[in-house]
Amino acid sequence: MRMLDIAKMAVHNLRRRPGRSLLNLLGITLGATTILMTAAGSDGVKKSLHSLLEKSEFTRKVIANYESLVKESDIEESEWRIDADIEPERTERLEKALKNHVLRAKRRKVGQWRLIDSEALKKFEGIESALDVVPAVRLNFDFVHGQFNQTANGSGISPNAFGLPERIVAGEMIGEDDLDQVLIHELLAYQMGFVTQEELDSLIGSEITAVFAADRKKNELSNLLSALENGDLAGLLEEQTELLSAVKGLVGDTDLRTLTNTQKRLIRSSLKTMVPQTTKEPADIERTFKIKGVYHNIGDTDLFSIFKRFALDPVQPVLFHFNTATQLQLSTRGKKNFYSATIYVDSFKNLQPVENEIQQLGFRTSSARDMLAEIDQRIDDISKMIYFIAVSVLIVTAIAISNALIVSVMERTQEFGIMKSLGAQTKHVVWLMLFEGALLGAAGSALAVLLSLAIGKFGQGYLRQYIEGRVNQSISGDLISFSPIWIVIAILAAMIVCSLASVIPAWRAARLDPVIAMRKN
Amino acid sequence: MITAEHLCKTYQSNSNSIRALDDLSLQIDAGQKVAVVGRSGSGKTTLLNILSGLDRPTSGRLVVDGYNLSELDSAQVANFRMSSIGVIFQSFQLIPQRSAAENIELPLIIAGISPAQRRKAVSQALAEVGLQHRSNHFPFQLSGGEQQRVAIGRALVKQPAVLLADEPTGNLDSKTANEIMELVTRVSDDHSLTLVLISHDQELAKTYTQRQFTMDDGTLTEQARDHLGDHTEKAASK
Repeated sequence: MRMLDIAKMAVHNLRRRPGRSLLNLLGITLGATTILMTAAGSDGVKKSLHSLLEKSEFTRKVIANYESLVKESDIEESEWRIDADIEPERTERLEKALKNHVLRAKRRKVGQWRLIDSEALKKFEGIESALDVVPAVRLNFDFVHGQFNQTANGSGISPNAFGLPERIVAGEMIGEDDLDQVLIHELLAYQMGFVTQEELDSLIGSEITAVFAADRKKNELSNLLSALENGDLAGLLEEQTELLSAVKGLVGDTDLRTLTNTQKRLIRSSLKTMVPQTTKEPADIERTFKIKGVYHNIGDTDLFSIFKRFALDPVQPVLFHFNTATQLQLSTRGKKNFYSATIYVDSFKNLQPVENEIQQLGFRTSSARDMLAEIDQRIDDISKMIYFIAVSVLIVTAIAISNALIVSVMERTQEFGIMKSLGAQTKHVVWLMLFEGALLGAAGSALAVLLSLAIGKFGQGYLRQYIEGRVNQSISGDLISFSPIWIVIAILAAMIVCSLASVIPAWRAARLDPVIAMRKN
Repeated sequence: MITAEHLCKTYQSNSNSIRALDDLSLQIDAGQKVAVVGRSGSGKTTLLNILSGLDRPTSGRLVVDGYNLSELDSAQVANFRMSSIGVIFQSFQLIPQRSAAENIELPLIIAGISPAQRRKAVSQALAEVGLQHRSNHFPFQLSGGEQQRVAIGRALVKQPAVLLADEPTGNLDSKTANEIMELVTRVSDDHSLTLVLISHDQELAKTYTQRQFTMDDGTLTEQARDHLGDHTEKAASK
């Protein structure tokens, strides 16, 4: 028998049972459509998000963080290995907990951190592709504007700070040379009595005075004593040279959490006598700035609200040029180190090389790439769940097809007997049944492709409208993107599943004795 | 054309052993028309199934159209059925969902004949059995006689060497039965086929065949025709 004739006979047989064939087709189409739409949706959304983030300026930055000098590899096995006659699960649990405990204890010790200092900042600035290097600064000062006087916080921003110019409600963004100009938050302006747009406009160009108190000694001592109470000196993270050397002299390599209260009291009293002698008292600093603009918070519908982790540049009531802020922190509080620094990069594709260089300098980094990887991971996780459902649908359909074909074989017993009596071989009967299954799979998957393309075509607009409305940005590219590979995979999967479903019916048909089969007339 | 030597066929049913063919030997020359008559359960259909390759003898040697069936595997037997044998059944054995032409075409499809050749052969077969005007009708739209004509067309279309007819008139009235037997003998003559007719009707057998055998409990006896036209029996088996 020629394969083409077997295929034609299979088509003929399927057409003879339209109701059953249609129900089977429906199941296959549903399963294959789910696979295709999931693949197309996840691919499309991923590509669009990548494209959206890659073209978004706010993603072009790398956060460099201080890093512990103590690595996991620095811990000896003898420090955490437990040799006790207990259940293996409990041993494993305890060893894991002990390992963490030892690691944390080592990291708590004074001087165990690689901190971001002026030298590190210079190295960051020297990295190719780095536009600005903005250390994380938090300033505390008295804010004076006319009769208005209140304590305020401030931080430094880059003139290249992404997403900020769009949030200026009055005035302008700080420029490269605006070292003595500031932005203030609209709430601060409101507290100052400037509410309407006209009032905010009138505020632009007016002077404020910032008074930075010379209370370093008091603050540092209280911070240090508090850290001592908590047993966590690393939390200070500042190279308070005199204080730290004093503490080191007192506690050495001791894990601070192991100190008794009596010991802590002794150290505290010793420090109180030591610190005033070793620290210099800086004078109060008073600086005058002009208000360049008034800004507002990130809106809930902004794209940035979704990616706050990377979009949150300025959150303080007063924003200084970052060079000014850095200088003020170094001169008013005597700090030489920073918790973190933001490195603005010229393009998204350069994030990776910049991160690599910073990591080679010994610091931890994070960037929008991590966020993208996380988003991709979540999309993949959801997709896996949907694929599982789609495959389940296909399997259930396969069982239904197998059942339908077995019934079909029973109905066609006489037919198979006649075919065999006319010279058909067992393999012809097997091929016929397998073809019927494969044809169902092929037809179902072809319908699935058409249906998916139609859903993609009409659903694209609605999906785009929804997402663009959500992120308040226009999105380029197809949100539902069909890959030829996935189309082939869906077709093959449906055909293979259906062919497998017809194996048992084919086997039953092939085993029929033609003499007995023909008696079933 | 057909040589059977010491054929035996035994069926096992629970603990009982049923011998359907008992040391049966037979020689039929090419172009001969023979009939095997006998009562129900005598082993006629078993003999036809074995001659057509649908069943295998328990022992003995069988050669049909040059094929030694005892030595063939199942694929070769299928090939033998396809090329050498045409079978007509009492219950017609047509596929209900296929038209007359499609039923006749089926053996050609199985034989892997090209569509153009198939169309030509089917058309000829339909003409031969006088059913050109009913070619697109389905079996349920045809009378019993017409259905049997379709079955004859299907048996003839692949031009076999041997035509086996198992009670071909069993489901037909006497007038139609005669028409069908006329057709069977005519096409056998036209195509020089060897005809083996299985029937329980002695008169039909005598009318349309040259040699008649009687089957009884698995043994075969040939009836000899004397100069007066009467028949006497001589042992054909044992």
